[in-house]
This record gives sequence, C-alpha cells and structure tokens, in this order.
Amino acid sequence: MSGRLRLVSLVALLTLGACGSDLSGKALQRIAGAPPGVDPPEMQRLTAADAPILIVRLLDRGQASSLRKAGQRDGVISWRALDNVRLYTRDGMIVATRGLSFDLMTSDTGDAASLIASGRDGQVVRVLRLMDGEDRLEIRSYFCDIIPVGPEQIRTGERERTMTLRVDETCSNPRGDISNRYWVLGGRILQAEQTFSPEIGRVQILLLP
Amino acid sequence: MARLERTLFRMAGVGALATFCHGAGLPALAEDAGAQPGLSFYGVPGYVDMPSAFVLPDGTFAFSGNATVGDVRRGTMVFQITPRLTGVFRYSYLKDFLSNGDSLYDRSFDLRYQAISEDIGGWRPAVAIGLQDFGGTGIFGAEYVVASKHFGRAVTASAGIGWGRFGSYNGFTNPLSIFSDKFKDRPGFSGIEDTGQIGFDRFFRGDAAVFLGVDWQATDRLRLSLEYSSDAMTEEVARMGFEHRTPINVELEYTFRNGGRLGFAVLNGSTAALSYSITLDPGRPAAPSGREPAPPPVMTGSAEAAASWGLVPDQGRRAGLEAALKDQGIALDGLHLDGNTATVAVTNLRWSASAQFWGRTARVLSAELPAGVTTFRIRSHIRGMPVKEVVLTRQDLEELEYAPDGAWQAYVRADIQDAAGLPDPRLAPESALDFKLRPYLDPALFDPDNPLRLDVGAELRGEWSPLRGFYVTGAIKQKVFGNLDQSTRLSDSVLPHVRSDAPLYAKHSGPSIPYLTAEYFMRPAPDVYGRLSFGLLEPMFGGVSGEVLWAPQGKRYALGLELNYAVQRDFDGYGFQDYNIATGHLSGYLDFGGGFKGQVDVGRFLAGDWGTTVTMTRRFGNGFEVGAFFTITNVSFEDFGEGSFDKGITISLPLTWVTGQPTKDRGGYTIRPIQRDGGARLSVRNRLYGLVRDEADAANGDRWARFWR
Repeated sequence: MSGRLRLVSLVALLTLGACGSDLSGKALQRIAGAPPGVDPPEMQRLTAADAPILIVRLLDRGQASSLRKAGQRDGVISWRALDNVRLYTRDGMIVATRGLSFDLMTSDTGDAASLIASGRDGQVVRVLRLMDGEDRLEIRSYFCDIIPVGPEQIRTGERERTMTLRVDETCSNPRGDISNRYWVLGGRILQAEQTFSPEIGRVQILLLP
Repeated sequence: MARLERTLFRMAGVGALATFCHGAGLPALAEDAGAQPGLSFYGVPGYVDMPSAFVLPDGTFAFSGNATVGDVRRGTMVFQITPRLTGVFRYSYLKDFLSNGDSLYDRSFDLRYQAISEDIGGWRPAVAIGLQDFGGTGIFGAEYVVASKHFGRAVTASAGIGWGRFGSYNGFTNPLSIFSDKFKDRPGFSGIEDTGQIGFDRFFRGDAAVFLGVDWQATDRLRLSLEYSSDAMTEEVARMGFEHRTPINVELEYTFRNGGRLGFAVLNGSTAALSYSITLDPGRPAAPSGREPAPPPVMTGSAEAAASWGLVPDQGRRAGLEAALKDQGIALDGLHLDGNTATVAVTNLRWSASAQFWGRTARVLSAELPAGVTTFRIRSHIRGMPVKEVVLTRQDLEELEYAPDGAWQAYVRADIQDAAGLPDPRLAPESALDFKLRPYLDPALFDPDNPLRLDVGAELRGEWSPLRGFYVTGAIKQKVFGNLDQSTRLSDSVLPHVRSDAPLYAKHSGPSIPYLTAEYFMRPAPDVYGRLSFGLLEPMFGGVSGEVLWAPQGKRYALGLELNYAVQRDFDGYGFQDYNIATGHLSGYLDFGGGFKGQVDVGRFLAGDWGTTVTMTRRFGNGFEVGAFFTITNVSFEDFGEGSFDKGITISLPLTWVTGQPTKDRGGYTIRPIQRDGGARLSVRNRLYGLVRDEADAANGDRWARFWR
C-alpha cells in the first residue's frame, strides 16, 4: 500500500462514524454551494499540495475531520477543515479555534508545553479566553498539575501502533475542573486531548507522523 | 455569583495573572441557590399566587403562561432589569369577567425591587417590595413587602404583608394608618378611562393581610410549593363563580431537561391550574463565537514593491483586494497608497460587531497589499457617510494575532478617530441597484380584543444609489394571509387619528408600499451627521424629514434635532388625506455605562401635541436590547383615551443572536398596551443615532473580543 493510500484509509478509519469531513456539520450548505468566507479553492490547493494532516475528533459530539495545514507563523500552525473551521496549534497543543460556535479564542501554553514534552511533572498556570456571549472575553485561569502517567500505545495508522508517554494535565478552577491528556514521543506531543468549552467537550488531535 | 466572578475576572484585565489566580480562589457560593427561583402564577418569583423576595439572575427573562379550569389564562414576561429591579408585563384573559358578560383581555405591569439581598450563609433574608398591576386596569392591583430565606439548598420560605388584592383575605387595619388615616381606605377603580394611570392614590392603601409561602426542591426535577394566600379572589368569586374554600394553595412543578418548568396547582381548594415557564438569558446567544468560518490569516503581504502600486492602484490590482474583501462581507469603496500607508474606504455589509468588520478588513489587507505597506488606515462608511478611521500597523497585527490578550492589545494600539473631513480615498461610485425579495411577518400583539393578530406576506425591496450618500429605496409588499384586518376597534379618538386608524390601513388587501424614499446622508462637520429624507416615509405618512446629529467622538452623549413635515397617507396607501403636520424633536442620548442607555425626545408629536418621550434601554454586549419608554404630552389623560398616555416595551435583537450566522439584520417588536394618537412619533427609517451607534460604541472598545474572530 502506498503511503498516500494508507493515509487516506487512515483518515477514513479515524473519522469513521462522523457525519462528514467538516466540523460545523453544515452538510446542507455544502450542497447548496460554499457560503462566503469558506474559500474552497484554498482547500483544493492544500489537498493538491498534500499539505500535512491533523486528525481532529470531537469526542463528545461524535464528529471528526481531517484538517490540512494551511499556514504557520510565529510557531503557531493553522489547520483548516473543508468548511474553513480552523484549529491553531503550538508545540502540539491547541491554542485557539475558529468556527466552532464556542471557540477557544486564545490560550497560554506557558510552561506547560515544555514540561509535557519533556515528560516531567510540575504545576503551571493556564489561562484560556473564550467568548462570554456578550462579545467580551471570559478569562478562565487554572492551576494545572502535570503528571507523566506512563507508557501507552496509541493508534497512528491502520495497523500502526506507536508507544508513547502519556502525560495528564489536571486543571482546577472554582467553576469546574478540566483534564487534558497528551501522548508524547521523542520530546514532541503526538496526540492531545484537550477540553476548553463544555459545549464542545473533549477535542482530540493527532498529528500524523 | 458566577456572574460576579466573571466580572471580577474581566476587571482583572490584562497581564494580571496573580490577580486572576487570587480571583479564582474566591469562595464559590452555591450557584443554584436562589439563581432560579420558582415563579408564581403571576409570573414573578414566588410560590403559587404569592410572591417571594427572590430575583431572577440579572438580565434574564422569564416567560410563563398558565390556565385555570375556571378559564383564567395569563401570559407573563418578566425581565430582571438590574440585579434588584424586576419589570413585569402580563396579558390576562378572564372569561365572562365583565358585567355585560364579555370576557376581559387585560394588560398589566408590575415593578419589584429587592431592597435587601439575602445572606445565603447567614441569617439575613431577602426583602422585596412589589407593585403589582400598578398602571393597567388595576384588576390585579396589589402591593406587597415580602421577606424570603433559603433553608439549606432545597427549602425556601417567605412571609409577607399584602395590600389591595393581596390584602383581601383575613385582612386587618392597615398598619400604615399609624402615619396617616389616608392609608385606611383604598379608592376603588373608577373605570376603563383611568387605565394606564399610575395608581399613586391606591398604593399601600386599605386593609392589609399576611401571606406565607414555602417550597421544597425535592429532587433535581421536582419542586413542591405550599402557601397561605392573602387573596380572597373577591372579583373572581363575584363575577366568575369561583369558589374560595381555603387560603391554602399547592403546586407541584417538574423541570424538564431544557429548563422548561411545568406546574400543576390546586387553587383555593376548588380549582386546578397548569403553568409552564421558561427562562431566557439574552447574554447567552446560540453561538457565542459565531458559526462563521475562520478569518483569513494575517500574512506578510505580497513581494511586489509598494511603489509599483501607485497612489491610486489600477483596477487590476484592486480586483484581488476587492474580491477578498467581498468574500468577507466587506465592500471596497476606494484605495489610496502613500508610501508605506494604505487608506482603504470600506463598508460593512455583514458583521454585527464593528470590531470584527475592522479585524477582517485588516487581515485581508495584510495578505493582499505589498509587504512594504505597513500602515493600514481603515475608513468605514455607513450609508455613504465616512464614520470612523481605524489605523493599524502590519507589525501590530503580526504580533497580536495569536497573543493571549490580543483583543485588548489590538484595541489599545488601534488609533481610532472620526473619519469626517479626512481626505476621501473613494473612487467615483458606480451606480448600484439592488433588489431583495423576502417574506414578512406583521404581528399586532396583545391588542385589547385579541392577543395575537398577524399578517404574513412577501416584500420586495429595491435600492438604487446613483450618487455617494444618495439612496432611492422602496418596498412593495403583498399580504398572503392574516387577520390584522379583522380588528373591529374603530377609533373613538378625539385627537387627529394619526395612529388609531391602523385597522383601516390593514383592511387594504392589494399590494402596498410601506415606504418609498429618496435619502441623502452627509457629514457636514466633524462629529456631525446629517440626513434628509423625502417621499413615503412610513405606512401612514409621507413628507420630508431632516435630521442633524452631534455625536462627539469618544463621549457618552449625543444630541440630535429632527424636523419633519408629514402628510397622512390614504388607507390604501396610494394617495394622501387632508391631515398634515410639522413635527420634530430635540433628542438627547446618554450612555450610563453597564449597557444602560437613556434617550429623551422633546418636541411636537404627530397629533400636534407637545411633550417628551423618555426611553431607557439595556443593551447587552451582543446587541440584544430590552427597553421601556413612556411619552407625556399636553394631551390630557382623558383626551388620550384608554391607557391615558403612550408607553411600551421594546425588544430588539440581532438575528445573529438566534442563528449564529453573521448578519447585520435585526428583528424586534414594540409592545404597547394600546396604540392611541397622543405621543405618536413619525416612524422614519435610518435615524442617525441608530445608524452610527454601533461604530461609536466600537470606537469606545465595545465588542473587541470579536476583532480576532
């Protein structure tokens, strides 16, 4: 099986059961033609250029999609879905989303990324900013404990399993705790499972190697 | 408490990490305790018929409806105006209530104030004072003072003293009569003509009585309420055959997963009743961050030399920028390059939040213009008027796109000024013609005979703009079905029938022209906006209207003057009647902060009456507006007729709030207990304050969380 074909089937497998390859689930709109701002030619260009793929699963919504790397600036990679919903990652962690209705506007990865990637434990402060419904930023700050749990296998291909180090991040705030998980390989976050808004639930991203 | 906490976080602002963390350590009070109090059958926080002293969460609505076996039906809208002040509008139907055997459709208003807030952990109860039905027919008229307390998480209890209706069972001599004998007697209700007058001479007068209430949240879903009611239901017993067997009322309430609450009650041991209520928080739209696609990324720009673009770039170079902006719902009106500075004239066609419109414009400019262009002067226009200039640099955009506090930083670094009088980068406009066909709904809610009248049809709107700032706009609409024409209330007004002939207008069934106008908008001087309108201004009047608005940049106030000459249109809309009038207002606008806005209009109204309209509006950050107004003119309450003076409630919301899709469109409705001829104002489209306010607020920092959205 060629690398390309394997990738396609992996994407199909990982996004199986989801309602489409977009994240907003606006299937009807796709049929009716792209709404403004979606810029389908960009996605065609990225696909043609075989831009790197990020597998995104909204675990609590039962949605999944494969996003293409659309750009990179200042250490932040921008990934776009077919419907131009975007995720932004820094050091393998989600730092922002756009188009999910309950977006993470910004987030400080701070010292967390280096602790996680190096598999050390520690305590960090994390600050998330979300829209509060009145077009102001709601700032949520958390104390987070970062604890390496141990080796864990994750699926990175149809038959491929990769042995990684799982690192848990448990964050507390009087309004509710969140827990994130990361799977680290060779000092790099390969897969992450983060929560930032209760409406969206857990978001899992896997950087295809 | 959650709200307070959020506010604290917001106030803590930027870069104050330690403060956030400290804030995060504040004790979290029980969020549910008292946050969603039970609602009484009058729709206000309370038990079955009796009120409690609790409040709804600040800024939320509660809508409730109930029906009793004896054919009393009520719909209530409650709005928590401030954390302590509650406003209530209620529409009631009482079958065969009137002495001539007719049923009564009644509109009533309450105001409640929580004078003392509850100390959840300690002993201090909440205490509230309420004026029920203070200005309607007075049929539900009652005043009360009530104290309420939580006992643990599941139980609340209240004790209160009531007057009027709530002082009618087991009443005793008014304790207030120690101050004055005036308090001993409550003047009766003198007739329909007095409706709408505030019953100052009745408040807290006559016998008083004590009421008690207790409820128990048995499970997450079930609540049981029990009360000792001080309402003897005197009128219902006398007029509707109601039986008052016991002062005890009980209710069982079930809360659905969606938050709706269904209640079943037994009233006074004789009558069963059902109720349903929902709450709505205008601060929680369907999609807080919107469903629109991601914005285009900030880019470093094209490799072309800025100089090669020239001062006024040619059509070929403009085309890419124009297409990219258009895809973002932004019209490009002009582009001018001077060294490393680009000045672009743009018009917002899509975004409810001006900051988002500016942000997306800046992103597109960063990608489409040569890298050597480092300063973007974004000149925004509304109806052809230059409004604001927002200056951003390429460096700021690049630094802040992913910065944690990028929204605030972008606002601080943006240089925003009034765009009037600056050199105009716009090209000669192309004559633009635009048509839109859409369905329309014309409701008439809560009229005195029918709670809901509605026309449904189609409307074709066309607009032609041959010159900058000049618009010829018209609409033609055709009703498909509806019952607005079935209103049989012919006007008995002694004033010129400037509004009360609405049913006659509604009887016209052919195509109608709600408006057909030529408008001209201008910026005669800095901080000054102007408008001239001519033609069929609104469904009932045509004529000419001129307005000047002085809205100084960065200030909380504005002043406007509007002068009109209006001629009344025929009922079929094709000609004019004999009635004409010079009318106009001096208007003052003040932003009190915290979302509260006031407006005062002083002048001459359509019926020739002179007077003042006072409007208070609470505007939520997302654009949702709830307001109330009243107009007092030199027309006597008697000449005004039913309702005594003009007043009402307005609700207006961006459609984005409902759908999450980006659009500038809004929907809304004004509820008036009754529309009469006194205090009626010409309904001109495109009044200036409403046109430019969003950008003015954005220039003061509103909604900048959307700059990077």
